Amino acid sequence: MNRRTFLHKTSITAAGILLSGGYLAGMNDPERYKLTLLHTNDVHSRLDPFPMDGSRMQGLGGVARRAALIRKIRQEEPNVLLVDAGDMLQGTPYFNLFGGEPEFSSMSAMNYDVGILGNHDFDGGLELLDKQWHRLNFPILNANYRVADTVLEGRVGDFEIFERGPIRIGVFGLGIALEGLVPASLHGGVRYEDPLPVAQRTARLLKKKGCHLVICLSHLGFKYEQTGRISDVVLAQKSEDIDLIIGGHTHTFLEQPEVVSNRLGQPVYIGQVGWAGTVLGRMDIWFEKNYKSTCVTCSPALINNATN
Amino acid sequence: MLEHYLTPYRQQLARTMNDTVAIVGHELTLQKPESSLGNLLADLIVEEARGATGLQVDLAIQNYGGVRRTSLAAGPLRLGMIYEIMPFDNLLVVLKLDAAGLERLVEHMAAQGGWPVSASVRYQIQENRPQAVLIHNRPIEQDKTYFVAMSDYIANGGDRCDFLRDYPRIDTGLLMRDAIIQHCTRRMQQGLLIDAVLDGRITLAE
Repeated sequence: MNRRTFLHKTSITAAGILLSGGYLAGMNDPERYKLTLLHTNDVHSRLDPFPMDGSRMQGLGGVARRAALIRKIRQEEPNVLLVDAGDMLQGTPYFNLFGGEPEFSSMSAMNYDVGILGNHDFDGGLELLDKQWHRLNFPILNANYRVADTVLEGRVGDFEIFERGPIRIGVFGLGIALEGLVPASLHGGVRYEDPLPVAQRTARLLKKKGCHLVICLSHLGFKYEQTGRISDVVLAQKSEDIDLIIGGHTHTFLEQPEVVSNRLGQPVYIGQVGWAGTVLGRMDIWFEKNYKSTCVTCSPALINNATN
Repeated sequence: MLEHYLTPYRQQLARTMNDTVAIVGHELTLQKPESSLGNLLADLIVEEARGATGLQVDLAIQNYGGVRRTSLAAGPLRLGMIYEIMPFDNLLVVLKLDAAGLERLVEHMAAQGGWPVSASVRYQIQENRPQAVLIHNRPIEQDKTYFVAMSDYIANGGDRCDFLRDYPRIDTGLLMRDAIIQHCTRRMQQGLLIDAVLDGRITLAE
């Protein structure tokens, strides 16, 4: 995959230094802190690689190989955060036969740090989520879903703060409108709130709590033709305190993050890696020691039989 | 470690899901506005809906996003692949639409770039709007009732089809997935391949 570096709030001179290969390859630059963000979205119950049947995705994906790659990166990198942007469930017979059990258990085995619910995570209804929730060992965040008086109460949160070395990372999640997408019988009682004000409020709070980086996990979709429809791009444009959006839903494969200016003219990075877990998204984010500037390198890794 | 954990699940799955239900003649793919996989599905849905209800079903539609596997290679079609195409437990229903409802549905499908439709439907898309809409080679007739096969997900207003909610419907009692399975199984018993071609039913206007 291509490797490209995005820089912001840094001078040209600094950019020259940052771009020199030694720094990018270097593990522990004493002048900077590095966070390695690993991400997936829309894995859709794809536990096994696509079979070798001549189809377009044959041989790609599979949780065992993804787990091996994640383990390797965690050995190499000091500060790793592993996130998922929803639609963990539905799409292979595993879900029809086992109702989410192996999907949730394997994500927990990979030590995901945080995830969100996508629309298809409701396909087995709240009953299925209630039954399988105990298999998740990481928080699920959908800040714009009001879940009071449902089985998700006390389970689905708004945000979490992670500390990786000296870096404080605030993560919150946004779910898509379920009305018209998921039958009411399956999500009964979960109320959707307009994501934009929730995002503004939550991201602001996370910055106030001293987070150096605010990540939004979103299942809103990358972008739409209908003007004004909320999407990751619209969210980025209209928000102020979000640094990075890891998206899903539209199965968009971004080989490099889309960089969108927010309301204050600051860059917001949007990442999404297609679907089915054929790619593990990776962004390496370097922070200057004063956290005034960051540098993002994106190198998504294809999961194939070369993945050890 | 995960390999080990998954093994019993995988074995149980293989016991049923690897059964060959049919043979695919040529690679089938899903695209907008028209595609081989889309045509195959819509054409078989109309046929199975006719068989299940005994009605002269006029057309079938399938929401594009509801087709969850977007390609099938030539060769054996295994049961698991049909689950991947149609994983949802949605039911096949037939809606009785008036002309206004059908027009609205075609407008909605055109605005989405073209959903799979059965062979009796022809139209062009110009700037996200349908043009020259023909059903059985005739324009939509204002006083006619159209029997339209689709999943109950769409009939219940899914994928922004809330305008369909109040139309009368005939239930087939068949899951969409089972309709596909029974169609494919029958083709194989008859010694026929699963195939589909593009016939220009939906085109983009110049």
